[in-house]
Amino acid sequence: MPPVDANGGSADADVCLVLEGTYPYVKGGVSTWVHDLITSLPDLRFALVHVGPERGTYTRRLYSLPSNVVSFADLYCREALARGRNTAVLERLARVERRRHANARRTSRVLHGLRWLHLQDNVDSSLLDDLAAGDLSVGAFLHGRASFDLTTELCDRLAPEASFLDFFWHFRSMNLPLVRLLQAEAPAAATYHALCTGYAGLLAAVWSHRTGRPFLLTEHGIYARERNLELDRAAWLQRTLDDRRSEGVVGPTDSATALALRRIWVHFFHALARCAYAQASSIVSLSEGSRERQIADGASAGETLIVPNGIDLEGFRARVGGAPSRAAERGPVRVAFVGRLVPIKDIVTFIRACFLALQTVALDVRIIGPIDEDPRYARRCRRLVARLGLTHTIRFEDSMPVERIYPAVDILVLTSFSEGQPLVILEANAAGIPVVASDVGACRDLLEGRTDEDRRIGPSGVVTRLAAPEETAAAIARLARDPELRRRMGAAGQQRVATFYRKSATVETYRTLYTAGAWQASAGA
Amino acid sequence: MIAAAQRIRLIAPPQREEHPRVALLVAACAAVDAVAAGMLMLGTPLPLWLEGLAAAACHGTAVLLFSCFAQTRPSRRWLCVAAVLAVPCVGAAIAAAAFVTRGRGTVTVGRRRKPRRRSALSMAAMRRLRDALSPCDALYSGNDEQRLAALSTLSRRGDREAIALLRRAAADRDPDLALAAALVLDEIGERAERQVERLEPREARRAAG
Repeated sequence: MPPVDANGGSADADVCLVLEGTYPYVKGGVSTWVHDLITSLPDLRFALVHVGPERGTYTRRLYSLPSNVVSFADLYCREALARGRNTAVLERLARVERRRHANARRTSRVLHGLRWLHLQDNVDSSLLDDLAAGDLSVGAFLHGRASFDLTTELCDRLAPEASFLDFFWHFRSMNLPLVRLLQAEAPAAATYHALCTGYAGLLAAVWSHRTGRPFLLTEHGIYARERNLELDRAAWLQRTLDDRRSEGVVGPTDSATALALRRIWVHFFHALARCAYAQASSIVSLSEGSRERQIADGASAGETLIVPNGIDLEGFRARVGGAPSRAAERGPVRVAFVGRLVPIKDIVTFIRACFLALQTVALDVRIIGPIDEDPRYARRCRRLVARLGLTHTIRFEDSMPVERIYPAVDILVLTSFSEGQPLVILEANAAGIPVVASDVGACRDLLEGRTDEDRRIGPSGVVTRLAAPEETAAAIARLARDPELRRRMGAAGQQRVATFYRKSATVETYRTLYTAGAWQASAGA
Repeated sequence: MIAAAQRIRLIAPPQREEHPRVALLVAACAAVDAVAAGMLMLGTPLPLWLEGLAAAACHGTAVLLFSCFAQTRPSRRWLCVAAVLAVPCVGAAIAAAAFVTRGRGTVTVGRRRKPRRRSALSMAAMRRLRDALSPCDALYSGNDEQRLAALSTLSRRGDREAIALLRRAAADRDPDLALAAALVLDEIGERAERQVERLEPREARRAAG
């Protein structure tokens, strides 16, 4: 099956980037990173494959594709049998598929691979061989006897206490995207590069296995862990856990079924990650913490490496200016949060921290970022500001160019629940602005240093606990009262960025990874 | 078992009746009642039984007038009707007073609530209780499912103790635990904000009297 919705030329690419739910349809850290990487390597030709849930989920490209992108394809995991809403046509097609596969008992290698994926913890090349065979059609998976036999066997072995009906639909839901994606033909490329594990990571691993071309895996966040978190907050599981106190069988899913299904989903995402790790010639992360998690999840330590994101310092300084503004030393200290207004950024903690800090120091606070991604959360933040009586002190502003942000900021605050390696910290440090950030992702590395040499530069900000407004407020107040401390931290940040976080170094490392295939320790990151 | 008595506060909503119209209605009732009283006290040429019947009919008309034309909440209307019915002539004045009086929302009454009958625990549930870890142990040394159940319990409780425990967990070195605890803290915070939003208009109404 060729990739659907392919456009652009069909020339062989140097790199095939396999993306899931991100560039060019979604704004954010990973998308910006991808766009920057492609534009920074104009001599390399890129083929982009975007994996999305279904047609219509992503309609508008938020980035214009650079000229070195030779092809772009959309793959949909949950594509219907036929387009359109004509139920009669769909029913007829379903009947035909059912008749065709109902009595076919021949098993396929992909089904064998799926069985292994669910039952075993180890991954070897024979599993990837099976999955790469691509000999299971969507119709055979949905209607075939062999597929149904596998479903019943796995239900008996993995979730004997669970409702079969629930298991059946969950099993289909998790495996159908895989079956669909495994049928897609690989775009011709010298290297396959996935930006996460999951479905996109497995697809890139299978393509690399089929073609014998190297596979590079970069993880900004740890996909399997992020999915665990989503599962824990899923309504069907949450409701069941909330009702556990009374009796066993309550709500739409009984607790035994819900917990068994959660176990299966968790195992499935970890299995996808293990497949990607097993095939990858290099596994890149942004921080030591993420690298340790990759190893704990099955990555070979020898293939992992940390490639921190960098910043184009000269370009940034040309736009923003190198020295921090001194305008605020007499007036209120200017504090800013820069980022999307979404729950994962925990702006509520930032607002509460400002409220507490304002009891002791004069502040002028701005929350800068797009509000359209989660209007409900944005409303919650605005209501909180109003309730705390801070409408004149805390202002909400839409995204704006960096040259309008950083010259008017004395302290940058980032209270996120989760981050990879936030670009705003790099930008603030490059502008000589101290940062107060929660202890997530690479924030500690960025503010306190990653290596001994890095740590000798000194801290360029304060790291706080998650969801701790008092601690964040204390850090803001401390920095607000001490201009000399701000200056010292700002200078340390500038030195750290100039020494360790240059975009040119990041780009060159990726060029090496793309062209050399596997990572050589001597290549230097 | 002693049933728990719950104290509840009664808050009278603002009345929107038009006073001139009420005055007219009360006056009409009082007049009809006065006719009935006059018939009984001063006497008429009618036979005694017919006189009594006419007086009763007049009093009934007064009651009907109030019950049909008084535009207020049903509870208040029936209070007024009862006053007019029980005390001829003076009842209309009592009804008028009841009509124009506004509550300040300061009256509290005790409401007895029947205790909810709890179903007996099954053996499976008792076994689960016996084997369950405390939320603290489940967070720090339980498996994924025990940790998840503990977080769910703490989220539901949302009291001081639960928040303290979650804050400690949010500062843990294990990033997964820290993140999960922080998200639960956020959930509790959001719930509290919603509750405040629900209560605020009611408090404002109370303050406005």
